[in-house]
Amino acid sequence: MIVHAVLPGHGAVALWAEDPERRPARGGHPFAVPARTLAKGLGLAADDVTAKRMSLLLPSTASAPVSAAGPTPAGVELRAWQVPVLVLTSADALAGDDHRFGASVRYLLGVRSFAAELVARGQVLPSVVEEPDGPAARWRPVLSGVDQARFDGLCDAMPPICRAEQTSADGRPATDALHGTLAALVDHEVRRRLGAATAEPTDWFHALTGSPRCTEDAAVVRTLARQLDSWHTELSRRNPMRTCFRLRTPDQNPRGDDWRLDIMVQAVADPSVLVSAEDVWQDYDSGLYRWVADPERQLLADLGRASALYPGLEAALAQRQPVHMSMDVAGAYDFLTHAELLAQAGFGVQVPSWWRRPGELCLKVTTTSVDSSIAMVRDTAVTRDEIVNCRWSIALGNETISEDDLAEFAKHKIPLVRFRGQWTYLDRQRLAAGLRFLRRVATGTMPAREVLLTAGLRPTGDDIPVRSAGGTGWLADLLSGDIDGRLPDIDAPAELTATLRPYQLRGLAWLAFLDRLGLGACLADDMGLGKTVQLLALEVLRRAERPRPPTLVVCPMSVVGNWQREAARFAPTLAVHVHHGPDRESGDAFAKTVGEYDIVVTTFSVAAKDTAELTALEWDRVVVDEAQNIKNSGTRQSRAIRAIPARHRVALTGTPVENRMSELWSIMDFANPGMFGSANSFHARFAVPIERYRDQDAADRLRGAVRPFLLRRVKADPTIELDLPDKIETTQLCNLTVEQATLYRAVVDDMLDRIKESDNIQRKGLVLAAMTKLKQVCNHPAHLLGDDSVLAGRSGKLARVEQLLELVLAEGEKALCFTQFATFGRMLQRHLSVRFGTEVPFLHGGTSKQVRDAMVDRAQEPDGSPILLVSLKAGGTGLNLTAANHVIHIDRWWNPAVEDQATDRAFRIGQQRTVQVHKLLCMGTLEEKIDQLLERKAALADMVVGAGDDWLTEMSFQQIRELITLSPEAIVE
Amino acid sequence: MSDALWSRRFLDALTTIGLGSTWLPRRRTTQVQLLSFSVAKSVVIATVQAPDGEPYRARIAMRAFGAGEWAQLQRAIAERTRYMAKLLSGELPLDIESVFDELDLPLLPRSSRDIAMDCSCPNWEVPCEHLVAVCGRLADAFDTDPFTVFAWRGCPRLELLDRLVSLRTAHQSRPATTRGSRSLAESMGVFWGSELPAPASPPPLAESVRQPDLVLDQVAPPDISVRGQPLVDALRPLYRIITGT
Repeated sequence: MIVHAVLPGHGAVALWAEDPERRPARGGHPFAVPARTLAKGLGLAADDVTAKRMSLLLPSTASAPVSAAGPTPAGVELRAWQVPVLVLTSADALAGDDHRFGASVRYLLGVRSFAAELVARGQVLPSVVEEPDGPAARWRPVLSGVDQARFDGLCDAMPPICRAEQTSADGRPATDALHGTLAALVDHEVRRRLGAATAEPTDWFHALTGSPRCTEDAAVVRTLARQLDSWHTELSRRNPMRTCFRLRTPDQNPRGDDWRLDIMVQAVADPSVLVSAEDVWQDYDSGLYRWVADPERQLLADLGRASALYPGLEAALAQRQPVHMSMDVAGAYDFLTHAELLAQAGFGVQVPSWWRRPGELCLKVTTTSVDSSIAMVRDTAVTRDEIVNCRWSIALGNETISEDDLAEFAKHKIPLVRFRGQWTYLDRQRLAAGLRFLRRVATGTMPAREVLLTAGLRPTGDDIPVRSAGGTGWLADLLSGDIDGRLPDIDAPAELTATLRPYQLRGLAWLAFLDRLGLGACLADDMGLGKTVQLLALEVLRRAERPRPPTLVVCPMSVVGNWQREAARFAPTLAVHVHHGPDRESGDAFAKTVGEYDIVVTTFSVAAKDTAELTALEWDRVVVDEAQNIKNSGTRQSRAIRAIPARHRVALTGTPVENRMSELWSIMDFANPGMFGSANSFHARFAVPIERYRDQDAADRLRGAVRPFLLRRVKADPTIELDLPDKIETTQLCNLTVEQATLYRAVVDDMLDRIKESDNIQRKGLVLAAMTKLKQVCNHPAHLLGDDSVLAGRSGKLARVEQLLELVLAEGEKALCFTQFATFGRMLQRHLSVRFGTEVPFLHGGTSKQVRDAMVDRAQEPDGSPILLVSLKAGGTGLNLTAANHVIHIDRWWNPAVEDQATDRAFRIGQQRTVQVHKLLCMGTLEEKIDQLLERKAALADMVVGAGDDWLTEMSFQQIRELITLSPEAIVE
Repeated sequence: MSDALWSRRFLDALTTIGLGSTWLPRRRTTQVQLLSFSVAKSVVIATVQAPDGEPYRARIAMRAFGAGEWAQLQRAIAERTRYMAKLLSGELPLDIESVFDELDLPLLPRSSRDIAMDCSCPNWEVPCEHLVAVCGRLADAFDTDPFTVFAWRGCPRLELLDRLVSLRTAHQSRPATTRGSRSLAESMGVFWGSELPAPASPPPLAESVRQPDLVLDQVAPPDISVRGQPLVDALRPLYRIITGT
C-alpha cells in the first residue's frame, strides 16, 4: 500500500492509498484502498477524519491509472479517476517514518513543520472567513521575506499529485493548494498551543481560542474580514529587508583598536537574520536574492537616505563596496548621537547596551547620626532638624569613582570613557556639576531635613541627583529603604481591642517612626490587609502618651460608616465624630465639637466644600483614605485637601500605586509636600523614562527615593511572611442615599401600620414581605420599584460594589458576586458590564447546565470574565470557581451556613490565594441589625434563624419595630 | 548640499554667461502667466500669456548628450558609491557636476553658445519677459525635482537609475522563477514526487532575544477593540502562549 497526499484547498490534507495487489474494483480507481480500510491501516480515529470521494487527475494508460510503485511508461495521459479519500483536519496523527508513505505525504510533513515554525515565531494573524458552515475565526500565516521565499521553495518542490484534484484541466494551482493547507495547519497548530477547548459558538475573538464558529451577523463579519485582511496584506507587502548599522567597541573589534561600524542587512520579519553588506556586494548566490528583488539597489538607496540623516556615513561611501567603517571615539560618539534618529527612520540600529542604559552619574551621601533608630521609636528627642555628618562622593551607578579617575575623566572631550574595564557614557554636564559640588562641600554637616530633601527626588540645582549610600543612624536607615526591616518591634497599645498580626505590628512601628519625625507616610497595603486598623492603632498609641488635637480622616462617602464602626470596635477609647450631611455644624459650633473628639471623619466632597472651615482648625494629622481619589492634583478637591495644615500626613490606598506615576506623585506630594519636586519635573525625570522607555534605572531610582515613605505589602508576595489566614471575612458598611432612606422609611411606616392590625398568621407573611422589600431598598431603589431606571449614583451599596470591583480589577484579580435576587442580578449584570467594559456573566437558577458549564469554564480561564454574578439558588451546588479570590455578598442570606456554602465556591481545593469575603450591609438598617444579632449570639442565632422563620412570628411588635426602623446613626448621603 | 540649491546653481550659470544679471531680480514679480510648461530631451517648451493677453510660445534649448556620452557618464557615476547611494535615495548632490566636468561634458551651460532661447513674441530683447518667466519656472522645477536637469540633458530619472543599477550589478544572475510553470501534463515523469529532501530551512538564526508579538507592531493595526481594549493588546497574551515565551 502506498499512501498519497492531496492538498484539498480547504482543510489540511486528503489522504488516499493505492494497493496494486488488490483485486481491481470496478467504477473509479481500480486499485484505490477503501476509505475505512485506509483509516484503520493508518490507525486514525473516526472522529478525526471525513471520508469522501474525490476526482483526481492521474497519469493513465488507455485502460488504467499508472501506479506510483512502478515506472511511468511513455505515452501516458492525464485522466480523471474517482478515488476514496480521507480528509484530515490536521496532520498530527501522521508519524514521520511510516514506510507506506509516498513522497507526497513526506512533503506534507515538511509543510507541517513549516507551519509549526511560523506559529512558534508568532508569524500569524487572526482572520474572519465565511466557511460553508458559516462564519469562522481562523489563524493564518504571515509570509514575508524569508518565509515567502520558503513558501515559494515549497511550491516549487510540490509533488504534482498534491495538486491533482480535478478543479480545472490542470488540477489546482500549486500556490492555492499550498496556501489552503498551510493555513489549515497553522490554525490547528495555534489552537493546539493555546489548548483551545471546544465550546459553544461565541464572538469572533473567543472563537480564536475555542471553537472556530463565530456568532457575529453577516455585516459585522464582512467589516471585520475587510479590516483584518487589509492588515494582513499590509504586513505581507512590507519591504522584507532593511539596512542595519552595528557599532562595535574596540574591545569587540576583532581587528585593531578602533571603533567599528558594520553595515548589514536585516530581515524585517525576523531581526535575528542579519547578513553583512559584503554578501550583498559579492555573494550573488546568497539567500538574500531569493527574498529581496534587488538587494544591492536597496542597500545603496538606504545608504543614501541614511547619509542624509547621519553625515558621518559619507566617509564609508567613498569606498566602492562599503562593508564597515573604522572610527575613533569621537566618530563613535557622533554615530551614537544619531542612532535614535536612524532607528526612527526605520533603520536597524545595534549599539552597545550601555548606551541605551547608561549608568547614572550621581552624588552619593553617607550619613552618620548620633541616635540609632532604636532610640527613635522610644523617645521624641530627634527631629528633622537634627544635624548629621555627611560624606559626599561621585558615583556611576553604584560604583564610586576614585579621585584619580575623576581628574582623568574631566579632561576628556568626548563623553565616552572606559571605567573599570567597561566602555560607558559619562554625562559631562553632570560630571562638571558633581565636581563643582564636591569643591564646595566635600564633607561636613547638614540638618537631617536638608539631607532628606536633597537625597530624595528634588534636584539639587546642580544638575546632578543625589543618592544615599548608607551610613549609620536613623537617617541612613531611612534612606537605605530598608526601614521596615530594621525597625525594632513594637507592642500594640493595650487600649486597642484588636489583635494585630505581625505585619500589622511592623506597619504600626513604621507609621510611628515616621510620625515622630513628622514625615508623611503612604501605607499602600493590598486591600484586605487592614490599613484602617493599623492607622487606628497609631492613633491609640499616640493619644495614650498625651492629649493632641484631633485627626481628620478624609475618605469616600461609601467608607465613612466603616471608619466609624471599626473605630468603635477596635479602638473604643477614641471619640469619633462624623462631619457630614446638610445640617453639619459650622463655625464656632463646629470648632467646639471638633475639640471634643479624637477623630473627625469627613468625605472628599465635604472637605472640598468646607475648605476654609477645616483649614482654620488645628489638626494633629490628616489621613486620606482611598488616596487614589486625589491622584488628579489639579482638581479643586485635591487642592483643598492638600491645603489643610497638619503636623503629620498619612495617605492610605490599596491600589498598586507604585506603578502609576501621576498617582504616585500626587500621593507622595500630599504626604510630604514639596519633597518630590514639581509634578512637571517628576514627570520628566521619572514618568517619561519609565512609562515610555521602560527605563529600569529610572524605576530603581524612583523606588529608592520613595521607599522610605511608602509601605506596600502584597498578599500574593511569597517573600513577605504576611501570615494570612486562608480566608479573610470583612463586613463592609454602606450608606444609604437620600432616595433609599426615604423609600426605606416609607416601607417601614406602611408595614408597621399593617402589622399592628394583623393577627399572628397574617403577621408572619407581612413581616417576611416587609423584610424582603427593605432588603431591596438597601440594594437599590430600582430594585424595589422594579423599573428600568438608570442605576448609577442612587445606591450606597452599589457604589461600594463598584469601588470593590475597581480595586479587584486593578489587581488583575477576579470576584464572585452573590445576590439572592435574580431580578437584581440582571440589573447588575447590565450595569456592571457597561461600567467595567467587560462581559459579566450571570449564573442563576434558570441557567441551563450546558450554558452554566461554559460560563464556569470561561470564568476559570486566566483571561476569562473577571466578574461573575451568581444567585443563591444556582450558587448552592456543584460549582468550582477557584479562579476568583474575592467573594462579595451583595445582600445577606441571614443564614451563615448558606453564605458559607456560597463562599466555598471560591474557597476550595485548588485555591492558591487568600480568599477575601466582603459582606455588604447598609448601616442602620435591618441588615446591620440582623448581622449584629447573628454576631452577638452566633450559635444561638444560627439555631434560631437557621431553623426556619418561626422566630419572626414570636417577636413582639416592639421587637419588630426595633428591628426594621432606620436607626438615627444611619448615614444618608 | 541641499537639493534646494540646484535653482541657484542654474541661475548662477546663466549669470556667468551673461544671460541673467538684468532680469534675475524681476523673475518673481513677472506678470507673465504660464499656460503650459514641459521639459523634454534638449528643449523646454512653454506657452505663456503676457499681461496684454496674447499667447506666445517660448523655448529654451540645450544640447542633449548622445547615447555614447551618457554611457561614459553613467559608468563614471556608477563607480562612485556615494553618488549611487544619493541618487537612489532621491537626492542629487551638487558636486555630481564634477563627474560631468571631468569628462568635459558640462551639465549646465558654460557659454552663451551652449544654450539657445527663443520666443514668438515681437520683442527683440533676449531673454524677453516671457523667457524670464520660463527660466524662473525651470529653476523652480530643478528644486522640486533636481532630476529635471538630467531629463533636459537627455536621460530621465527612471532610465538613469535603472541604467546605473544595471551597470553596477550587470554581472549578476537572478534565479529564474519556475513556480507552477509546469503543467500536470508536463510532469508525468515526476508525478508522485521526487525523493529529494524537503526545501531548505530558513537561514540559521543568530542568538538574539525574540519578540513573540513582533507582527502586531509592524504596521498600523486595524481599529478593532475587544472588550474595550485595542485588538493588539488583547492578542498579546495569546502570542506569548503560542511562542512559549
